[in-house]
Amino acid sequence: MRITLQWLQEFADLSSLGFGGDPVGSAGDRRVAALVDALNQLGMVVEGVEIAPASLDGVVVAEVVEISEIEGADRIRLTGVDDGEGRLRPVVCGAWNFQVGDKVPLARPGSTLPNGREIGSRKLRGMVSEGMLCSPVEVGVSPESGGLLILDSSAPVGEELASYLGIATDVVLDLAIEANRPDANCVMGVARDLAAWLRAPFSEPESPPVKLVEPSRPFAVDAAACDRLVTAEFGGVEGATFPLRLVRRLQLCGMRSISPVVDASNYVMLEIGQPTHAYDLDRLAAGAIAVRSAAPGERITTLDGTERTLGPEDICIAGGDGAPIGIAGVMGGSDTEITAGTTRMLLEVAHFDRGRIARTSKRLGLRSEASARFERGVDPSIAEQAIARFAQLTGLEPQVACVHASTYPLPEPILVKSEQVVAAIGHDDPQALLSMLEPSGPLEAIGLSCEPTDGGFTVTPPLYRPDITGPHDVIEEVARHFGYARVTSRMLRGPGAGLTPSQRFERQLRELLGGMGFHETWPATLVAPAEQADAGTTSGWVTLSDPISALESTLRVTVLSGLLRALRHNISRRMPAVNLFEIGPVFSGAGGSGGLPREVRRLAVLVAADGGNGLRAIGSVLADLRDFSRCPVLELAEAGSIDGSWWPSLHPTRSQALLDSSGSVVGMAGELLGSQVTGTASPGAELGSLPRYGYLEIDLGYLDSGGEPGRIAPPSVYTSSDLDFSFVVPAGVGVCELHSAVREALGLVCQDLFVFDRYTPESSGESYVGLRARLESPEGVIDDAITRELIESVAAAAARLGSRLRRG
Amino acid sequence: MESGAGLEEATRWVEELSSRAAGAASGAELAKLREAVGDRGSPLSALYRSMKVMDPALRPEFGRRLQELRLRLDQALEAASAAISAREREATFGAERDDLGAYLCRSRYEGVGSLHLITMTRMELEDIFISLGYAVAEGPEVESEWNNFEALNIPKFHPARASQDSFFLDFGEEESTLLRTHTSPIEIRLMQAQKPPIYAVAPGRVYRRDTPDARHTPAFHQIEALVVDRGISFSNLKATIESFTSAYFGPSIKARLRPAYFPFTEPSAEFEITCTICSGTGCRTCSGTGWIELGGAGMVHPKVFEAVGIDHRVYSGFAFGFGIDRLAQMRAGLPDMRVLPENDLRILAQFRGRR
Repeated sequence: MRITLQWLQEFADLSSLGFGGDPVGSAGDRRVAALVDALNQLGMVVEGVEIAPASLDGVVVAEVVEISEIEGADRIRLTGVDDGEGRLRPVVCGAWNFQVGDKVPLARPGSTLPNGREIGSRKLRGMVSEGMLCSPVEVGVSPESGGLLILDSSAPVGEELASYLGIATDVVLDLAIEANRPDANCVMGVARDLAAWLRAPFSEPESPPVKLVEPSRPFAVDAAACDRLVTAEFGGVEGATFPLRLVRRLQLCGMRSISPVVDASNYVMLEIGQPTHAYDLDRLAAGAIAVRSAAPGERITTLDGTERTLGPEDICIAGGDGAPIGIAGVMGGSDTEITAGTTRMLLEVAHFDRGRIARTSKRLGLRSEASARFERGVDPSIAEQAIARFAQLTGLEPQVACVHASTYPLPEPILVKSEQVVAAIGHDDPQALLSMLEPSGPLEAIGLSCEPTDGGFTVTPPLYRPDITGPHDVIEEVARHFGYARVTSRMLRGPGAGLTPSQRFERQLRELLGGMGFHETWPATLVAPAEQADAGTTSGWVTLSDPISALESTLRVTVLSGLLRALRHNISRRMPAVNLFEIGPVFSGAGGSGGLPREVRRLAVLVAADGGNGLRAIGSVLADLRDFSRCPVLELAEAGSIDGSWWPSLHPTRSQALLDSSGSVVGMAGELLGSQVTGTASPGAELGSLPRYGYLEIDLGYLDSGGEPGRIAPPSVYTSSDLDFSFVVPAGVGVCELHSAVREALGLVCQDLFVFDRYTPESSGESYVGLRARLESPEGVIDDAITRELIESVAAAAARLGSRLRRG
Repeated sequence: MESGAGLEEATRWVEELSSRAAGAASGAELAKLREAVGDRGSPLSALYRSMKVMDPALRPEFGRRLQELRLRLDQALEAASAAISAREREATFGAERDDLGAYLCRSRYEGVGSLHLITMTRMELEDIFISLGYAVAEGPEVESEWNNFEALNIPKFHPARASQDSFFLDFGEEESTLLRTHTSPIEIRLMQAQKPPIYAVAPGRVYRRDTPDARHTPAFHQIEALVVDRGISFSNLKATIESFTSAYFGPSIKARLRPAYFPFTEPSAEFEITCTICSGTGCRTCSGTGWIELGGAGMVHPKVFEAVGIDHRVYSGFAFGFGIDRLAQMRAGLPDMRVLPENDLRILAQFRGRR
């Protein structure tokens, strides 16, 4: 909200900040800085400060004495104006909206206009022009131009325009007002809070009071929709005026000047916070309005020319014939709008239900200055004040002003205990805090009546603070006016829980993967359906109700769907060596609990393979992760044999599912398909010069299930020996199975066992696997007899798997 | 004298052999010379043999001379062997010459990986709170409308909902599930699961339906601190924010609070810190004010306590939170946040070694 310094000063005495002497010259003025600081400390945050210079030195009131054509020019004319210097000053002018005898602003040579334009003497079409006749835009009183600014005929020739209009350099403050400060949505409210903070005098401007009469026929008002309705009829509307200096003020506050009546209505709203609405009385059926809930499907064309459909939740203003003529508190209708031809008008000043205005405004996507104020809360008791101010500003006399409804409830008193205030704020000097609540203290100054009671205060908030409903609201006001900056700081420490084992594990896992050469990614959790499909998921995902873009419209079921985007991004920028990892959530529509989708955190690793085998590359990563995490031994299963709906589907013969001991799938590892890498539809997409990519996705919870490691075992002091085995392994027996069988057969003396050779002849179901065991015993050297026994038991174990130990 | 002539011949032979050894090019050549020395027909062997038939009175002197010759020869061969080894070692070293620089000049995309800038910033923030005695709490990214709004005293149609444009899901009842818009629902879960005292910090990823710009991405990260205990006051909140600020930014950066409004706290505050760019003198980043806004804070609202079943007459608490991404951006001088979701290796590689 934009307000100006001078406007504030009409309400609050700001002399304690130093204002009152020299005019403000720059935004860096120390007084302005102090004002900004005060507003900030009150929570009315100043988001911008602008100096609005009057800049009208050398601009004077002049009378047009003669107008003559310039030969050969059809857009400009030569005028002779009297500016009080006793001679006719020649000025060339391009405007046509004036005639001889009009009083207009003249910018003399040497003056600089508010828009920065420097005025000098110059020659146009051979004619000397000594200055410029000005439009409303050029003298800064309005953003609208329509030719010259025509001044009142009584304007004294030669007088400085600034002093004639009452314009001086002003400061515009752009304030951010919080939702719980309905009172601060107007100049008066800001000034009241500020004056209380500065402990300075605050005064409301006085307007001649409006005489209220009993309505001869009270307007129908639905009390559930509107608890206050006051109206005033005005005649002679065509003669309404509105001071130019206030037009400038409205303009500085971001309001366009429309007509004296609309300008005055806007001015009242900005000044005291009460929105009003003017109807053309001659276009108003039966000269009456009513406030009611809209009928379902009722239609109305609003001021902005849009037809809108209403429902029973919306509050509607109806004309005397019952037809809807406005959406209460949000926007009026076009049928009864006042126009240039309006002579009689009805001013509606009302107080509507906050919640309903908010809902209507949200549903229609129509947020007006009025609706914003109504939904935050307007003081229901200031309707008469608004009418009086409107009448004073326009120079119109209210003919009939009546109260049709006044059923608003009065604020409930709130009991606040002193100890509660002190405990909540915790300042070292309780008395200083409680002094805020004392008579003629700051809380009284902002309208909270504070009655001392036993051990506390009975606080009654004013009607303009509907947000204050309980002790905590009052405590906040105490803290605010005491000053957050003044509250003592008291240090506090928690009991010191530290990270949980899982949190520590996750950190170490990240460090490990970083050290292994993988870069951690920013998780792309919102993906396109096509990306889900590329990763191997065709259904079961959760969709956003209202996505920003189709590319980010679903929650990923696999990490891969998001990582493919990163892979392709880097490949397309000629960086194919993509080695990434990510720890993040995946989601699915099935299997959730507590009314939420299923959400599981997973680790994913993407590795660019040096050789032509992505499975080998990711296999070595998985081996590292297994050793690091000590997760229980993984079972492997053919990817095709499991329910893979929540897992990526990869290269069919170079991928395997990872199972836990109960046979549940906990991960998937393998090589990416060419089509997944390139994003092309064909399954056999050529990778060209691109490497193969290995990929692993595994439940983080499974990796973290390894528990604490055992004690460190000391190495044997006896000589160790290696024993090589060569097996013929039938198709369908995994290397892992063979390995565990052999390891078990060798028993405790097997200190290490690993594949040292592997060969699968083409077109053969069998493969050859070489395993090398390091044998070592803490009890002695492994002799030939033991070795022979070991070989026999390994052979037997292999045979149980259908595999054969080859003997040299 | 025959024996004298024999000695002379042997001396010549030793000298010749020594000079041949000195000139030997390889270990093999030297081995041949050693063979010649050991040969029965060598002059030295012949002289040794002749001692058996020699006048015993002459024998010691002759033997000494022979021994001398033998020693000379051995020394020559030894020296030659050492020279050859040295030459061979030198040759090997020569052949193995390499330049460390060649390995330093590799592609910037090779080598170790990195933790994400956001991860590193988050861990650092967590560590500060851990040092203040807090635990770290986590929660799901998909939340119920109740946890995200209702329990936080943000009923339907509350203006605060409009300001947090949410990604609701087509899941369950209409507008019943959404991607959490802040990390506060973690605190709701925590307060439901754990009895006070609670000292926890809740980091996490949140989502808002905002158009991306240089400082905003629809997904971003927040961290929130929550304390619930007996006798917690606004003055504790103030001190905690101050000590967090100086721990993270350094003692020259100050924090200040100013009144604000949040439905879930009262009194509420925005907290600002000394502008880290200009150290408070005023610059474009801080719009000339010397302060930059960091986050929101306040005393937990009694209605929130009611929602989670904590007795607000016994317990009180505070919460404060702020964006992690902004801190990461400020620290790294990252001009545009929109590069992060791309996961471009040219960006990720620059996260190495930051802490």
